[in-house]
Amino acid sequence: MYHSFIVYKKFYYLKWAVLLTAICVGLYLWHEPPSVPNGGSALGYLLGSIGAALIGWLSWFGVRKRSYHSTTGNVQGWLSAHVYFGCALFVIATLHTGFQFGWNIHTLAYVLMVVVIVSGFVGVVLYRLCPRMMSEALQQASRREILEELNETTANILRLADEVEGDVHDRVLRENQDATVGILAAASREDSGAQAYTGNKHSRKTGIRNSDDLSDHLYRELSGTQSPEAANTIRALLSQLAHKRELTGRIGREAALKNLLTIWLFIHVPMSIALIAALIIHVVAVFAYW
Amino acid sequence: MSEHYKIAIIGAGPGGLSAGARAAALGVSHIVLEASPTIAKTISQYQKGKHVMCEPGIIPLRSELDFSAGTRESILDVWASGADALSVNLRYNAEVQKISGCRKDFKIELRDGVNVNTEYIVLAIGVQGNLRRLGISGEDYPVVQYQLDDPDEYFDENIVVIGAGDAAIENAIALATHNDVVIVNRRDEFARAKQGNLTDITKAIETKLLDCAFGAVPKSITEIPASDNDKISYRISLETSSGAAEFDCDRVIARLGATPPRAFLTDAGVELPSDDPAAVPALSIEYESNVPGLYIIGALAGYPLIKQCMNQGYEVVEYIEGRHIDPVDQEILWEKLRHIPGVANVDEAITRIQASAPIVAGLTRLQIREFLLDSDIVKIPAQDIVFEKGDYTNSFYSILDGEVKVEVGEPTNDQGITLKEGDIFGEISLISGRRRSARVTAASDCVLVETPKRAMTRLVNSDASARKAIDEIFLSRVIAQFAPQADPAIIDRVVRQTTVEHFAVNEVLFAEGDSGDCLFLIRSGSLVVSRHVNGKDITFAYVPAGHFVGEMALLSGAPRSSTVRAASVTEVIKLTRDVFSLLLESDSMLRERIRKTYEQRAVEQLQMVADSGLGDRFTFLVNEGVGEATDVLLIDEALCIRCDQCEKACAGTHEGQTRLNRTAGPSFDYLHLPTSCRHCEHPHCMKDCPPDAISRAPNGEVFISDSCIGCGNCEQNCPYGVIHLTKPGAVTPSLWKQLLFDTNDSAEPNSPSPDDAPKKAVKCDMCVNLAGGPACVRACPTGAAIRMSPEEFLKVTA
Repeated sequence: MYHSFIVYKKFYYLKWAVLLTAICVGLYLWHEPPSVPNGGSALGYLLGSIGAALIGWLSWFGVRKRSYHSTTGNVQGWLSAHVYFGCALFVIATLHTGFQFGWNIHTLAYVLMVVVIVSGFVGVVLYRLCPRMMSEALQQASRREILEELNETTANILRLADEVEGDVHDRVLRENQDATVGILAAASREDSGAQAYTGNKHSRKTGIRNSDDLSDHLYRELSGTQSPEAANTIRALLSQLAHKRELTGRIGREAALKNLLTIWLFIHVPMSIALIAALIIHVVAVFAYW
Repeated sequence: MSEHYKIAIIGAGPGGLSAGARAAALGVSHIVLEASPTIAKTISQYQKGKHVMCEPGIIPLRSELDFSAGTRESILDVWASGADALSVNLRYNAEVQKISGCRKDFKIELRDGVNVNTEYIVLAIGVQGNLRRLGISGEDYPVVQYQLDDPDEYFDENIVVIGAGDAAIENAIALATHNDVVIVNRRDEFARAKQGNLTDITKAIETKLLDCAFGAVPKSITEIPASDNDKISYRISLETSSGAAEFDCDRVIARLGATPPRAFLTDAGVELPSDDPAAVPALSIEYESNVPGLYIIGALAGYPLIKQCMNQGYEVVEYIEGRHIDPVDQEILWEKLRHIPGVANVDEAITRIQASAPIVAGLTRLQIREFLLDSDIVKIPAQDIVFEKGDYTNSFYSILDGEVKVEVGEPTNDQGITLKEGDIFGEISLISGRRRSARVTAASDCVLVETPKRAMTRLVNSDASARKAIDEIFLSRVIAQFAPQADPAIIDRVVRQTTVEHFAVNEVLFAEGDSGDCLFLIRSGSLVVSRHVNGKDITFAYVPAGHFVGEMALLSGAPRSSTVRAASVTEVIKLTRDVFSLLLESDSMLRERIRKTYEQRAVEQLQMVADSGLGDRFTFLVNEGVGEATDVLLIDEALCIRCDQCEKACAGTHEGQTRLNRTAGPSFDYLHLPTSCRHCEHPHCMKDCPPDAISRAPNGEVFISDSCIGCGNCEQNCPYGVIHLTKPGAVTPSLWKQLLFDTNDSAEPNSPSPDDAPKKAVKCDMCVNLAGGPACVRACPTGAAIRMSPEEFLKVTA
């Protein structure tokens, strides 16, 4: 419905980034270096300076994003520019290398930059895909509503299990224990509630296996029972169990997607800092060994 | 048995105590009669440790007793020891049954049979009233109580809660966690309860958290003789629609509300201007009512703040003693009034205003003082703008001196109309809650009285003639805007023939296919227009106050082409076919303008029918109450990366407290409506704010100023849960920590501030102090968060 950071102001920053890139590529093609193209030529220094300035400015996004009082543009515009100038940086820095690579600090800085840019690409793709998928996973409901529904379903299951003969109630209780802890935790802090379903993969798998066992057991009971009332209760119990599994699945998918949306930053941001360190060493080294 | 005093003061709240203290200090014979067993009953019922504030700061305290901001306990201690030291003649548990007589010869009858004879009476009983009692046999047993301080004090008891109001529901639910609770409701539903409480009690009954006896009337409480265990138990008998019922109980909590003090006033012969709860009795400048010798001070007289009550307590005794001191706010008032040309003091200024402002003509001088204290006297140089068309302000203006020019259309093609001394303006926004419909400029140097909405509400409720005058002016101006070329005489005729109708949310004004015999001008509120297409209703227009609907059926004579419903509580002005044809004859351009509006609406309608999802989204928003909003935060879930930057930005710009909750609130078709202030047209929060701390700025934001006393009324009155009482305080983690660990948790409650720090109400102020607008929107990295008005919604999401 709204305009995303990609089409922000009709690709305003894309246009500037393309222009900057085109100028740099043009200069590179036009320039005749004294020997082979490399970072030490006059153009090499120019491209290097532009690249370093871009890196500094791109990193500043992390600060601007958190400067809530700042009135320099809005964060959406900054992100749009961040993405497009990040792409431009890839071209400009590559031209700056003159395609000379080796096992040294200079190439390390370049590699770190590529890692940052590629992880950034991953971020852009995730930002475009995940939000919609998260809403679809929850199907119009809010996470809190699903947790509440889950709570009610669990209560229903326990109530129904109470009416079934044999050890069904105990089994249901056992199977529910993990989930109940999860919901209680969810009530206190929403995020951890969802973590309880997805964070611990082991318990989730066991939960599902247990509930599969339980369903099998109930189907056997259902075929064995003579009383129509008992059969009805078991049927209701089975449908509630299925409903619960569906709810757990929905909230689990949503939480997994939410994790995806932050996880790439754990590469992007530390690598950016490493890049800045490598860049400083690169610049100092170049001037020290002039 | 009878006693005699010069002054009898009824009520030992801040006003009554202060009056008693002054009388004691002067050595005047007096008695303070208090119905409850404690001083300042209302304040002593505040929650434990509540911080009591001493607004308004600009008014000095004039009392024998001390008062400064502090905890409930410390303030009550100071008053109790102050009253003791002065030997104030205080009598507790002295409930007044009846007052008769007049100056020099009053008789007060107390519940215990004692009669008090007195020359003067000071009524300082507040607005809480005395708690209603059960009135059944057994009501004096110690198990019966009429209030509940702390529900967590009770465990494993059988408790019967009687009542169906908010207090009863809240008590019953709070107690039900640790006790067996039965709530006894005289009726079959909880009609008096607030929506939130209604939902809670219905759910509690469904989930068997507690039991409810519907249609049940308590008949008696009896003691059950102690049998094997030594604890005495009680039994309450009820009469229900299905026969008698009995419950054994350890405790009966009756929350039956209070007898309104207004009834007490009327019985004593005091006249009230209207039945509206906001109407206050007309009093002289010395707080004397229409009953000679009967003085009224404090909340009952319309002064809800503690300091005002205490000052009046002091002053009223001075007046009774024949000393004519200036009211304590004399200097503050003079500071405001000195701008009026040719007046030398406050009294002259009030006389002048009374003569030149017809809407205050019917008020007493004390009411005018109060009106002026709430208002500002503003001096506007010639050619300066008073307000711009489209501003969101809703204050009201009376012209004291000079002239103003009102321009409804564009300045170039509209000469505007001129208003003179004694005229009023600003009533359209006051009534409709919408943006200013015209630009007003000073035609010459002028002096205006600018009165805020709340003071105007009090005025129209206290004075029927003022209300009528404002309503008529509103109507004629709205109709003049609808048909600008119409002859004023015709407009006058039209005004007399219109009627105002009220509609609740979702109520239908007219339905598709109905025959159309009238058109509606929206006075306040808003409407949505929908049509039945392919088996479902599609909403295609939102019409705010100040606009009209239903004109097409009148012009064409065809049946209604669409259904119109109220999107919020709405008042419309109904114009019948005859009245409408009068206007059509008088304004030759009207027909053409209506045709253009119709064409524009038809285009929108086609667009909506083509994109049925849009209509559904709009219907969703209207059902969520967006109809009464002016500025809503809406999140596009297809773009929102759930990073909570909006919340963090809000916290980061508001002392570490976020005023919006992104995850809370409903979603529909990738559209999410988070819990955040919508800046309603008629803000529910502004209804009852004792220090008048909530205001509306020209760009629409409703914000709370520092004079908030933390009473919590606005939090309770907001139907959307966007106001919270919190303590300030924040620690933002270092930038490195934020960058590396992404733990900018300033949106979380943080840095514990001292427990006695005062709580204040906070809500979205649309970043009123921030250049660039709302931080939540500016900080959103993906453009998912946008603030907009319901009118803009159709454009943005189409």
